[in-house]
Amino acid sequence: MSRGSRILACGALALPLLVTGCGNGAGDADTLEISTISGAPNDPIDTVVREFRAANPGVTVTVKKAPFDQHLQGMRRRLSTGRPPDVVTTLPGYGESSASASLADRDLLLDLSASPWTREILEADRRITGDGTRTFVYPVSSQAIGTFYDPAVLDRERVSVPTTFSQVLTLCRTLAGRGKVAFAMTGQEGGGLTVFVAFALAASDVFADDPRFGERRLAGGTTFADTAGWRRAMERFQQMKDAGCFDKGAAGSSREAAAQSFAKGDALMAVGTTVTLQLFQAGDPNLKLKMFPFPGSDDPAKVRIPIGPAVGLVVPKKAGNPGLAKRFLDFYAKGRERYARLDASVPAIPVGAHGPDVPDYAEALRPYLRAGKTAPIMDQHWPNPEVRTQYANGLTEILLGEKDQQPTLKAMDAAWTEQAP
Amino acid sequence: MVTSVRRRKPHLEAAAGVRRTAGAGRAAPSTRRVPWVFVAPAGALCSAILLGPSLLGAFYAFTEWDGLTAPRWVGLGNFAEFFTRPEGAGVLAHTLVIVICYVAGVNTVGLGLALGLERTPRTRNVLRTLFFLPAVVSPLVVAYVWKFILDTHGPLNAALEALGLGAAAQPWLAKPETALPAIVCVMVWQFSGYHMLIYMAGLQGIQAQIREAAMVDGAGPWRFFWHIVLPQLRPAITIGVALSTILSFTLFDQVMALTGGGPSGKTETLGTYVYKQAFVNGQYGYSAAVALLLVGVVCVAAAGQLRALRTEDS
Repeated sequence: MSRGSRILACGALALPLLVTGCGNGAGDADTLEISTISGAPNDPIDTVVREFRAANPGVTVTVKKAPFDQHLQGMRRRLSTGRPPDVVTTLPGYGESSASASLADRDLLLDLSASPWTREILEADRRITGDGTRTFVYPVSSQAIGTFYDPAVLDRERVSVPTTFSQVLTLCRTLAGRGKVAFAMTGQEGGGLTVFVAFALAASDVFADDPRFGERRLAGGTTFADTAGWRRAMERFQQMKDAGCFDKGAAGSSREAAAQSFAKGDALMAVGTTVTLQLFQAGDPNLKLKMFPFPGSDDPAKVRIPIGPAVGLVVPKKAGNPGLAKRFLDFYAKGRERYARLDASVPAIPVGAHGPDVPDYAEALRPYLRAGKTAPIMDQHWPNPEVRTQYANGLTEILLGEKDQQPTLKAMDAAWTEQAP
Repeated sequence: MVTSVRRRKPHLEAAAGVRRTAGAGRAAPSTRRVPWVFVAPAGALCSAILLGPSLLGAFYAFTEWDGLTAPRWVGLGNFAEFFTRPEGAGVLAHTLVIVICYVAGVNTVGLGLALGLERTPRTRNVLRTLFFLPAVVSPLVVAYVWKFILDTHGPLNAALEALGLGAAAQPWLAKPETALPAIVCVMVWQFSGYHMLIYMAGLQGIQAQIREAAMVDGAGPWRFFWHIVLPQLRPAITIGVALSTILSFTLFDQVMALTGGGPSGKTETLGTYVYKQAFVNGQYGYSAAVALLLVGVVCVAAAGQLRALRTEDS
């Protein structure tokens, strides 16, 4: 082969690689790439994809799944390189650096406002699924914070579900006297369950009096340190610690250890979101758990349930096939009630005239939802994950014996940024 | 002396041979290119996966970058921010405490094990294998096993209570005063066998004549250790200290698995801090700056070790 022929052959071989590598990522008109989180048992997305393929002959759909952290990091990387998947699972609102609002702030997501399901999004979720006027995320499932318990265990211990905060403290002292712990707790790994308890407290202490606190904080109209409700919520957390509500090693316990403690009956209750059911059932899959509203106030009328979308689907602005991606979301939204049943979740966009809902094991929360006694999942309104880190650290400090809670609220205000990082 | 001259002779001869070859005439250009051809693939690979990203990371350290949009040049702003942030001093202090305690601990225990095994010729091989075994297990696996052991309701506290020492039972990883020492202890437990091997090799290098001469002169065990063993082990100590220093500065797995940097950031190290700033908070530029700072600290420490080694050699 002559020198010229060799160069020509090399060029011919390299050209397809160059074309592939330098392309703008525009996908085939009939291909759809979905990137989502792995590990969810009975993940509805598999069924949705199967039915979408059947309803759209000739369309190729590929689903790539990765563990939570890996998925979010990979998504960020692909968004930055300009070759993102067509549909991506992410967390709605703020709270994580790769959550939907953080990405929308950078103009990286497609506006989905024209989709029919956007009209049915709950009013309270509009600032989480978009910026109030536009919608950037299809909220797949809903989550609510409450208290997990096993009715049989409470019966065995001859104690009943508390309905006021004072009853919570009394229950904690009673159980501590018997060598038991009222609430499974973990302060490790950036907050763990401490934050759920604190959110449940803040729901009643902050949002019962000021339902729009989240939006006012976002607009810079108030601060944590200057809000009496936030101070009261921190004080109540301190009172719970002093009453022996948590294990003495709670500050360093892992989630798994807390779940084990709950499964073994050492801890009788656990505050978490409805989507953490599997964590507490992992210690004993035969546990028949129920949920009751966590009473964050002594006035039952002020008890509020934090509720918000759990996961959502977004379409990146640079998606190769945005049209097909939107069609997929519309398809999913149409059958959302049926798909949600597959993993025993509840669609974040209510079907028909129903308001927000919870799974059957959390039916005790329903009257509060029906009466509109809800609060947001607070960190979905916090633009910087550092705010949550500071909050979690402050709560862990309380578990470690710190008595002054004001520095934590000031640190949260200091970590607040106008824009998500 | 005679030995060292003998050792040097082949090198001198080889060098003379090279000079003779070179003197005979310069190699043809095609022959000179041959080594580069062999080096090129490895060089390109190293540049692509090591040098390039490292230089890019160093560039990002001087920018404000969120990993999504274009980086904005901020000069030394990220470095200044690290030293002014409330957690910066804590992160640095935790790292230094771990480095000092780990380097002292792992080398002392390693040397102790090596000296002990020197006196147990019958069981030496079995014990050496046993002591070295943890070093070949993944640090992450070791950390998770110890996390289970050190849990508030774990086997360690259960054993203490069974022995009537319930008062000593602690939430080891939950209290700031015990969490950092626990991390150091786990690391020392895992890697002292590795350092034992380094010191065993060093001990084997001490010539029998020197040992015999010391015995004849009536040196006791302590005197023998202080004046004979320790000076002879200096190269091994230098290697041991250098390796343990670098490992402890870049510590990540054990802290993430044992405490996740908690409780309340009380065991956060530079390694875990870099990870969290980048992948949790999305502050890639700031994280790259802290990583660059870490590289600088490790380089200074390693250079100090090398300098000490050269001083010893001279």
